[in-house]
Amino acid sequence: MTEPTLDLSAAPEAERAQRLGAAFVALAPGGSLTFATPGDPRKLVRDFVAKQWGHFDWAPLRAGDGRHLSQLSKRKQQGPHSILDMFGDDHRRCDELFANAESAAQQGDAALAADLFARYELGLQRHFRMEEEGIFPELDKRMGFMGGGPTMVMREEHQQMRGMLRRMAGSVEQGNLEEFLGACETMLYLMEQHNMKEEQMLYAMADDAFSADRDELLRRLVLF
Amino acid sequence: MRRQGLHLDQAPPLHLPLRFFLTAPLFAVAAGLVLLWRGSALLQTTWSPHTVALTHLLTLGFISMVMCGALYQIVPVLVGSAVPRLRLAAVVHGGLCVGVPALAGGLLSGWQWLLPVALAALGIAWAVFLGQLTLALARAPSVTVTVASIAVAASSLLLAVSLGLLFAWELVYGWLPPDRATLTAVHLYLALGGWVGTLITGVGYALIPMFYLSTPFPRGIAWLVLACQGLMLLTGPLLAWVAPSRWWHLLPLGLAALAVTVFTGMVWRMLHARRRRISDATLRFWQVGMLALPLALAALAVHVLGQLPRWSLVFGTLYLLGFAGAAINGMLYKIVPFLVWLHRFSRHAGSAEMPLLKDIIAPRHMQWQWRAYALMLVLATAAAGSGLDVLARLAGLALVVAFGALALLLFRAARMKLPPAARTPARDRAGETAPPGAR
Repeated sequence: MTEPTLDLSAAPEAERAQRLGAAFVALAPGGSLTFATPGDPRKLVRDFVAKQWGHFDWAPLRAGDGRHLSQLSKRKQQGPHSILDMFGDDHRRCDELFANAESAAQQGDAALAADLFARYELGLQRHFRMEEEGIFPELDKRMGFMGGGPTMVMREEHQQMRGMLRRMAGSVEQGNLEEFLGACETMLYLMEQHNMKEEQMLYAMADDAFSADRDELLRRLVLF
Repeated sequence: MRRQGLHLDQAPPLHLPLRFFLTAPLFAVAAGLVLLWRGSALLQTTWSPHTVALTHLLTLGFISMVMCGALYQIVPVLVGSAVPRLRLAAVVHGGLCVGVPALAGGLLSGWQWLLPVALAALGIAWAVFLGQLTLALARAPSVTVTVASIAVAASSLLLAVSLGLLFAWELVYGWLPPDRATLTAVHLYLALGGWVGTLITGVGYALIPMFYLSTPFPRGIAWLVLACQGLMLLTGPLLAWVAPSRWWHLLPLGLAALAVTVFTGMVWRMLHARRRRISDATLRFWQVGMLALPLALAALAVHVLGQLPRWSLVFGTLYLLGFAGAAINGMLYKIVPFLVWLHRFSRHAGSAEMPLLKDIIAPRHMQWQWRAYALMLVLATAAAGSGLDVLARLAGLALVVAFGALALLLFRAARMKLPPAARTPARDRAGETAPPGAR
């Protein structure tokens, strides 16, 4: 389990941005840190978008109990993001969260598995929302898909994965790790073939369709 | 816009890949029966028509059959363009189902009339398949290393099949091609190194990271592997043609060794450092494949440099049953349960009664079949190396058991239906629902 490397929950609000900024500067390219904030960290992230866009990725890990955990990473390759880069990286990130939860279950640690599963679920649901609310409607409009075509297929697969998330959540909450692991395996295949379709085709299509205003879109989506 | 014509809803209907996947193990069983029946007589020289029959039951009936089915399934996603006239896949499947038994039967029985049947059926099947694949490749929006590998595999298949048809023609009608030994060497380079080898590596770049959550196969290294394979496929046949001293064959062998070392080394590293720590039978299959491949190449080197014909049989066994057989067996365990699940059950994904992959083929059944496979590989390699009759017949029996078990598990998976309790009321339609991509 990744513990926060930077706990900003006790820091005065005025200092948080500065401390987070300093920790980010110290990160090696490709490295990441987990940080905790007492409330929604998006205000801090908005600051980052203004100053450091192109250099970082951010994603929430855990919300609730008045304490939010999120992940900040420094990109290896800096510069403008493409949709394929940003969403492909987020696939890898969700894969990692998935694998962590699955390993914990395999080792028989139900509490840890439940905690790590919650991170995975949050990450995946956010990823779906970024696509369904941020990319698909505009892509449909620009490509003339009229709510059909590839985005419809992707939306249906999202629904199937949401169904699998419910089943995984049910089993891990009950501590039924065998059932959870079985659901994990099925989810993995569903997720990976879906990711492959998006990375091989859909994102490239979206990168073409959004070429002019892509950066503006992604700056908005990172805050989802 | 260049990708505007692409659609993600190009997945073929379930029965299309399944018919290839379910038939293929039966040909491996048939190969086992032939070996059980004829014993070590089949393991004396690769030139005997009976040995050729055995080999083609495996290469065409088992390996190529699965590869065709898999390509219909994954080309739309991996290549990014649709396979045209998908319905013709039934012709390809039918052609293989008629042609392979006719070829093997003709060679085993000496009934010459079977060979023209084989010629026609296999000729049609491969012409249709290669036509579809070529059109799909020609419309690829970008040339990735996987697309390039599939293109090299397809070109190799075209030439290997042309030579194969020429050999069958010669057997029937007696027209003797200029140099049979040279043409056979070329046929083997293209069929084994080009079609089987390049296709498995090319698809492996994309599928291994996906199935095991490993890091991606580094693109530059993948291109290096493909370059070695391409050069091997050019120099090998060329040197066989000009036939200088056998030491010249070190060049294509060295290229193959480089490709094999880099590919297997990288795959071992990726599997070792995979993020998903679960070990299952499919992982074992990949590991065996990655072990059998360098061993096969070593056996080939011994055969070529030492002029020891028996080692060509060891090479063939390790390459076809070890490397390709393991990769295919493992892949079938990944792809068949998932396709059944996706087409029949995915719409009910939230329901607690909906079967999961582990309910479609039980992991413990895979484990048992994996053990039968491993025993078969050991016996077959020992039989090829020793030429002992008892080992050959035992290996035949083991082939029947290992691939008979695989066929049984796949058939049961294909017959599985949605349990009534799993149907969510709102979406309760037909028992079998197509996934979003298959309508």
